[in-house]
Amino acid sequence: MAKVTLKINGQEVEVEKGTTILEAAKQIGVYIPTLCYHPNLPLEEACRICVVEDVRGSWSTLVAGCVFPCRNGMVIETDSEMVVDARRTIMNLLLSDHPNDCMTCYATGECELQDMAHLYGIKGEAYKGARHKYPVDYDKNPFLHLDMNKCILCRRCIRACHDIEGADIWTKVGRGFDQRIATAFDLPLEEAGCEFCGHCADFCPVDAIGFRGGRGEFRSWQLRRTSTVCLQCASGCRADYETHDGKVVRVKGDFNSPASSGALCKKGRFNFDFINSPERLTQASVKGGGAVSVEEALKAAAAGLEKVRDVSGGAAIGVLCGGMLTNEEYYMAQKLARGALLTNNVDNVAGPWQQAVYDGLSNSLGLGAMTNTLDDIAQARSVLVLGSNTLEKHAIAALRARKARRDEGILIVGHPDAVPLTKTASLHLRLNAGTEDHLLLGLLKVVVAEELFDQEYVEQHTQDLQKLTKSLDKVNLADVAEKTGIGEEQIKEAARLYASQRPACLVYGVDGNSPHSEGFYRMCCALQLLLGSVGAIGGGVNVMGGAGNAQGAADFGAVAKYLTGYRPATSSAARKVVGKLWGVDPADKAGLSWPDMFAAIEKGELKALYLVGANPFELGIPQEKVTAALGRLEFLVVQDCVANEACKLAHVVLPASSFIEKGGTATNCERRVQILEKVMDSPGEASTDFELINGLLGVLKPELKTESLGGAFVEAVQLMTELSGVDPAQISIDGLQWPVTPAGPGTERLTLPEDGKVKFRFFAAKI
Amino acid sequence: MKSKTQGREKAWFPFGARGSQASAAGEAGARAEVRESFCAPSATVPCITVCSSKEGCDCGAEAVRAAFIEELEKKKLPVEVGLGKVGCGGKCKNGPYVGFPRKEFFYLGVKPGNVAEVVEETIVNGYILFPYLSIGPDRSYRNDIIYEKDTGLIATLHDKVCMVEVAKYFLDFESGLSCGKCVPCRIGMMRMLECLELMVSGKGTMEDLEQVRSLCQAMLDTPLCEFAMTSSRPVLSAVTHFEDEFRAHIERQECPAGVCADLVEIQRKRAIRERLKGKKKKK
Repeated sequence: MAKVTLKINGQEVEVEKGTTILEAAKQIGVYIPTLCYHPNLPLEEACRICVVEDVRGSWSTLVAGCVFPCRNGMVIETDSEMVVDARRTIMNLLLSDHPNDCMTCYATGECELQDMAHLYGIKGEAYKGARHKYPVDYDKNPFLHLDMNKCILCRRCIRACHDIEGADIWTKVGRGFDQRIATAFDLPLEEAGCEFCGHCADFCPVDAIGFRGGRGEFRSWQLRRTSTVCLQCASGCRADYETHDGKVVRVKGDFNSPASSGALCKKGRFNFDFINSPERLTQASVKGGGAVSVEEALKAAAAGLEKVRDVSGGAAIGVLCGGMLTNEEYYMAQKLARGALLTNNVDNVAGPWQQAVYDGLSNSLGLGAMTNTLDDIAQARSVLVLGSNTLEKHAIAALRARKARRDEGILIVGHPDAVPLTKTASLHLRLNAGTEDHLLLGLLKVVVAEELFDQEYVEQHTQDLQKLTKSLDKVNLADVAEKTGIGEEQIKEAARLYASQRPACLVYGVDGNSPHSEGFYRMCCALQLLLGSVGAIGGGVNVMGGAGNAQGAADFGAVAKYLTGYRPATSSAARKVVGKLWGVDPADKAGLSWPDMFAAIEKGELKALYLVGANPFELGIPQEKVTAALGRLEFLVVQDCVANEACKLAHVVLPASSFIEKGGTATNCERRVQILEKVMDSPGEASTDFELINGLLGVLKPELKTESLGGAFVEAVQLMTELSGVDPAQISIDGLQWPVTPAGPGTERLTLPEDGKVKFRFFAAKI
Repeated sequence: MKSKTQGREKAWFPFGARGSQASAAGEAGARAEVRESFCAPSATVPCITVCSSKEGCDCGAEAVRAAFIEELEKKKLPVEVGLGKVGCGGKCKNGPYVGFPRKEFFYLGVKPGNVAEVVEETIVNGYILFPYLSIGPDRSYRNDIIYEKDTGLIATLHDKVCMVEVAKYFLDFESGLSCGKCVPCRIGMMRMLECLELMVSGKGTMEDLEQVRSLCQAMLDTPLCEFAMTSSRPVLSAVTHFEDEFRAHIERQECPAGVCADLVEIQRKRAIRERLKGKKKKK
């Protein structure tokens, strides 16, 4: 790019052609005030606060610094009298139609308008005249507080709603002085289709669109803000948690978040009540004994588990972890199960799904997880979204898919219901619930039959295509149509549409009812390989994990089938390696995944259960069945942060920390290992799952204890080729995506196989 | 505007209505009628006005005026040549202008040599001479105002047009058209309009006048698009060239043109008071 040189306040600066004056000024540390400008949003140039003087010899003019591109030889003054006068006039005008009730305003202290008024010494009394009197808090939604009297019409909310969320709820209504921000036809937010992502409130420079949380309870400067990774879904967004008085009051997007670049979903932003809940477990208790100290409870738990182990054998014990633990905690939980309790019955709530992802993808592609990044989805030319209600379960992926669609890409959504994402989709395939596998079969059949695939790519980078084609010969499109409930023609149309633009990107959201067999994932890979979209930016097989840290759970061995690092639990060689590291031989009998565990409880084969942050009533099993199963247990330990129904049946209850109250690492669906920061202390005697599991180990088998989080991580990665030699202290805010190369850096996305290396593989398609 | 109340409108037929009056005698009769009605001496506004030249003007407005007076005298027409109010920096694009307040149109660039033609065709015969007619978009939205974008000239048909009211009219009109995106245009225009509303109702202060000036400048310097500039320039011209009139509104609570109703009322009451005072003194 060509360079241009200009002078800002007498200081010469050389910048790329096309750089704005604002950016150029930032480079040399010259401050230009802004209001409507936001680095994470498209430009708007509405407020005119950023005007600077463009001196052109004998005369000069004011230009908006945020949008005006630098020209060669330009002379810019950012603080001349003319500029300051103009800014003061604009500030005076803004404040002349603003309530100026900073004394009681929620945004006081973090309000950008207030800061600007302070900077220029504007009291807001210069101009008298009409002020708008809109009703305050006119929308009765539970999340956002609206007061359009405070609005300065910077339009950041409109841009955030369009550009980040893609929901397009906010718009401008009216002209001139009476312009205001509103929904179409002034519908209440909920009716207007608001997804309550809260981005508008995040970006609002004043308190026109604000959060409801903690209104009237605190002043902004009393808040403590810490960024950590949200573990409520597999996207792993970093978010800023603002706490006051031991409670989370607000969650804001962290613009440094590598997975989401500042975006958050409704769940991540507003679902923090469980952390503040009065139902939080703050004390340990034992059945019949009431509240006891944590040490005593740990002793009781260890004794109970030990008894079952010694009497009925390790196989009679199950350990089930929740979805919001850290990698270290998963590692320690499975270490406890396999090493101390002598059972391979260890699983996490998303285990059965995540295990299949690994099986399916590693065979076909050599990488057993999501091949690309979440950001990549936005760069796809064609996106196929299957599985969960993506906008709710894996919002970041859905936002990226919508962005791809906005950029003229194709978006095909396959879901039984008209989920919100279908509004922007090019095609909605209304398939029968749980028939994604049949649909894939149909798509594969059409792609092969109509030769829509990328022949060159297939020849060069893949092998065993005949296995696939042979198996597809048996597939009858009419059967597929009947199974999926979609017409034959529509399947053909979908296949043609999906194959028409590349790279094509497959997004699959794992959900309770959707298929999750190894064969299904192989078909996903096959489709993407046929379209030449594996190993490309904006392509790939992108499977979202089923729970917050599902990827980490599988990586670190909290699944029945695999030890840490996907070493088969039943392989004696793998056990030998692990045994050497631990000093204790892990259990050898094949373990049960959690659905099998519940079946085993019913049969009376499983007698003790240790629930680590897992609520058995939220697993999708009928409530009565769970109650009956838990009642049948000889010994039940519940370790959770919030009291649930299972606590009533538990023999020992251990109070645990929520995910924002602990350190450690977590791995999101893009294989990104990220560091968690402790946001606040746990209430009462609650402590992290890591400490509690270590406490149990201390009683059961002290030699298996690991003192520090870092120690546990370093120990675990010794068993993992993907993360071999990684030091958690070296992981930056951008995280580290496995597999890491010996040289250090991670792998952002799967690359094409090198010459001579194993090619991508096709398998027979079957259900 | 006021000319419309003069009556006998049907006699004015600039666009060929004359064709309906077939006979030559009828035509002559109509002409006589036209002359009488269009420039009847009884009217409150003059029949014809000529630009009142300012210091430094080189457009020759005075010569045009003299030519009109001479020509009208020559034709023995009892028509008075009025003064058009004009505000310019001594420069204009379209030369001296001639206004016809009763019919609300302007002629631009009239030279002394054309005067005889104008008198004959327009005043005597009642035809519009299109080469001179002001039809450009710069003419503004009001019939009684002429505004030049390039030079900032603002002029009126006659001296019974109030410049404060004109400025208010402009802002009133434009503020409804502002898109509302940028601050100077969205709020600035409203604040100016409010100031002018105060002035025309006799509540204005010198601060308001200053505010209008500074806001005009802000609207010229900082807005997003041309619209704010286009709408504030005529106001700035009015404020600059007719400061006296604004001052009269503010300081003396008088509308020299007698247009602003509130001020006229104030003036009327004041006059009555003065008269009563005088009577008392006499006693």
